Amino acid sequence: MAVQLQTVRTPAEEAILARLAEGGRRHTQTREKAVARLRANGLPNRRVEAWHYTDLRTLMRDAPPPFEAFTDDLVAEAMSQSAALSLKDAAHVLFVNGRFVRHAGALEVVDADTGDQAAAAGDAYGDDGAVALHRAFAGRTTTLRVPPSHRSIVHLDFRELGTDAFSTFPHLVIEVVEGADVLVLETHRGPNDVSYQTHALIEFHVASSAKVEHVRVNEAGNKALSLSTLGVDLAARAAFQSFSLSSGANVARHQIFLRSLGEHAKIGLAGATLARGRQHADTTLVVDHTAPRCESREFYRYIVDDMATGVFQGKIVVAPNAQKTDGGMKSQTILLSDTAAMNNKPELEIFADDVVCGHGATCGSLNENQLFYAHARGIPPVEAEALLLEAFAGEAIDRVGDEQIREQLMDKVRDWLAQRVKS
Amino acid sequence: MAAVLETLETVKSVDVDAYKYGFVTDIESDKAPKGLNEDIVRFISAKKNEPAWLTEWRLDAYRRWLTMTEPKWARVDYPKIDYQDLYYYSAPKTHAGPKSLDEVDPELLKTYEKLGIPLREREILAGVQGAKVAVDAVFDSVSVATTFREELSKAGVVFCPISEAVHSHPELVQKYLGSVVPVTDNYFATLNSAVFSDGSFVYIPPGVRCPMELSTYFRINEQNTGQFERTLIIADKGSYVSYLEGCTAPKRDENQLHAAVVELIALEDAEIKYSTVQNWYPGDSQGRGGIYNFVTKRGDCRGDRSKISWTQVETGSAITWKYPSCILRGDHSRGEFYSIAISNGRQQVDSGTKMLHLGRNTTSRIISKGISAGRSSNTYRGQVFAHRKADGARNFTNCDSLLIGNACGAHTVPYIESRNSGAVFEHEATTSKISEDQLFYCMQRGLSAEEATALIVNGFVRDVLQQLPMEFAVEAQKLIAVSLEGSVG
Repeated sequence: MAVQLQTVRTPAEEAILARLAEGGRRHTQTREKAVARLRANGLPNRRVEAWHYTDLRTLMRDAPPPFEAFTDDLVAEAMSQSAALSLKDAAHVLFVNGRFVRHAGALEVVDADTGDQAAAAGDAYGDDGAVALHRAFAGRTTTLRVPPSHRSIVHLDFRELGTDAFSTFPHLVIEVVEGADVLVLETHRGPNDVSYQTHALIEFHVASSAKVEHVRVNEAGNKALSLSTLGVDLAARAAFQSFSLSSGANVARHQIFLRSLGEHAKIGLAGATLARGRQHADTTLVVDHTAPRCESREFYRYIVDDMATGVFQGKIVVAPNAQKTDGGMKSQTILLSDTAAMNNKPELEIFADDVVCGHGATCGSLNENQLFYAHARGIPPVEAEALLLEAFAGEAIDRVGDEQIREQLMDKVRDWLAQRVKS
Repeated sequence: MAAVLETLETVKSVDVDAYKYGFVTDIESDKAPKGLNEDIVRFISAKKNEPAWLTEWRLDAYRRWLTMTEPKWARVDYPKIDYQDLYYYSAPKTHAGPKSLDEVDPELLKTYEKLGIPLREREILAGVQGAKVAVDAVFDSVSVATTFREELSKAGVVFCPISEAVHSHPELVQKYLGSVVPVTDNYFATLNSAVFSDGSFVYIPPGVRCPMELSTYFRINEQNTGQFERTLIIADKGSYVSYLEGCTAPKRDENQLHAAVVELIALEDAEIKYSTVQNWYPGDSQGRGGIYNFVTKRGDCRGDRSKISWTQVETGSAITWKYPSCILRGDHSRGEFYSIAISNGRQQVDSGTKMLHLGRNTTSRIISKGISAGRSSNTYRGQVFAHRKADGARNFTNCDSLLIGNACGAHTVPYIESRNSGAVFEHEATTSKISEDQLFYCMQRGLSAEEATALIVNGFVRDVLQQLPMEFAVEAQKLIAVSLEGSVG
């Protein structure tokens, strides 16, 4: 119903605006714009189309202060814990509570006070409410330059530590030069029972003929609100693969804004989301084909249990000149309980005629015939379910090229399913 | 059917032959002043001699409407509508139309010719002065009304203008009006509730299979009464009805804004089949003029095992904003939506459906074929929802888009929301262009590029055409070819 509503600011919105009014932050054009946006529109909510299913106005109960108390002990503590995933021969780049701490390996890393972020971001997603929130608070930008020649392996290790609520806004720019080949592993891990909020904004600038494989694992704490924005610009003949495994956080939203700027770019996005309890897990992606002859494939699988909610929003945009685009998107969901919910919105927005684009979406429960088949062979129902679910998630994980990572991801799925069997 | 009734009355009161010689009768020419306020709403209600409850109902809607804002979410773009600059009541009148076919836009006449419309009918469609009333009696709708009215009443079927039903069947109207599309449903539905002009009322008694297809086909006077149409169809337990609306011929219309509401109610084991062919004036090639079509159509499968099926062929209007929906409330109820939406020139279509699964073992099927050509924009927007209690709900959605030319846009925006693990939803969508191979094959066999395109497009939409009642299907096929003219080569 289109009744005009008087918007009343939520406590979280009040807290955010009060904090921004305190000052002490560098004035840049981007920040001013972001703050003005927040002031006018508040947090993204269900009236904003892109946030219809993830209403931050209700999901974000409060706005904890940005983390400031960095000490050597904190870094030491982070170092003593294990990462969500380990990777041999990787250049390890550590972030503690949103701030770049150190890196090992041959990689050019520059960590600096944020200049005008919009210049780097190209403002392709400046309209997003969560990105505005990030820009209003983010302080520093870490820039990684991936050299050409041999294959580089980078592990971006994000750790959150602390016992009181806090918020972090790391910003990372990864420049992949012409012809480079890189594997980027991004892991997030944080404490349980602490209602911290984190929003990592990572921007990839991929030059022509460069190749990127990106794998993201989100194991944020069970009370965390974890937002993530991945911005990707692809030049001609660049290849970009990204996979995301999401099982952590109370509220998680991973958004990808990808643009193909040159011809023959190849894009592969995939993900597996495991949600239980009262978790809310959202993946939102916009693949913008602005150049001809590019190919994109999206493949997402969701397993939603208990009272959890899954959200998948995928949008393929084909600009008028992007002829010969080949786009395909698929999202599939298994709901394991009658109180679980899934919202699926696969969108096509096409302005060129010589294209082949399609999407498919399914939602249902486990196949009874398959269960029966397993049951008839003496496998107890709970284990049979786990077996089928493992295979279901596994098909998405198969899209990960690196074997070392793939194995560890499968282990994580098995762990998740084992917990289900136990309970 | 208002037109039919009026015409019959007029024809009765005047010697029919007089019309043949261009005799013009002054039927009624009063018109409410421009603008909208409570007095206008009361005026409309008074004109129709409505009971007090309906006047209040309209006023309540009007007051609600004042607090609402125009929805902006659809992918359509049009200049702001000044609602105070419109006439909300104008009785049928002999207006100053073109005096003969010579004064009519030759483009329009060419189209009539292609559709094979007889000369006499062309005059009426183009709104030539004096032609209007006389020919009414010739048309199918009138013959349906006169010849078959008796047969219908024998079967117990009520088929009359809603303004008449308010008096003849007040209990049914009061019980069902606004029960599917509530007064406050959306901006345009609320506006319609306040100022609705007229429309059809259908009631099929229990166990009756309506002996004929009900049609408002070729409703000539619609020009002046149809701006805010209101249709209410009730199929009582175990009954069946097929209702056809619209007309394949393009039509001039002085009312730019159309905001109709259609409500369907299917009780236990009942089935309603609602077919639409819409071909209103789409505006000229520069996008000037053209009808704004903001329609709210919704069916409520209230009883168990009931079924509602929407079939639409949308080729006209400058702006189409239309989402025929089904509320699947009864257990084992079924909803269907078959749609062909063709946009050419600068037309903008934002259309689709909603299937709301509330009952157990409810099923729905959506087949949508969008074809965009020229500089048009064609959007499918649909929602499939399963309620927590909708065990065993099943949906299959297929929306395909075809693009002709590189200046048009085709978009798909589905919302698939499941709250039940026992619900199975499948959705697929594709977008592509006409295959070069197919075109080449056809042209090699002597078809022109245009004919080949029409042939291939007809194949593309065949699934939907098959759902149309026979008499519509043939014309719709021709219409598709005509609608796509100028899009190739």
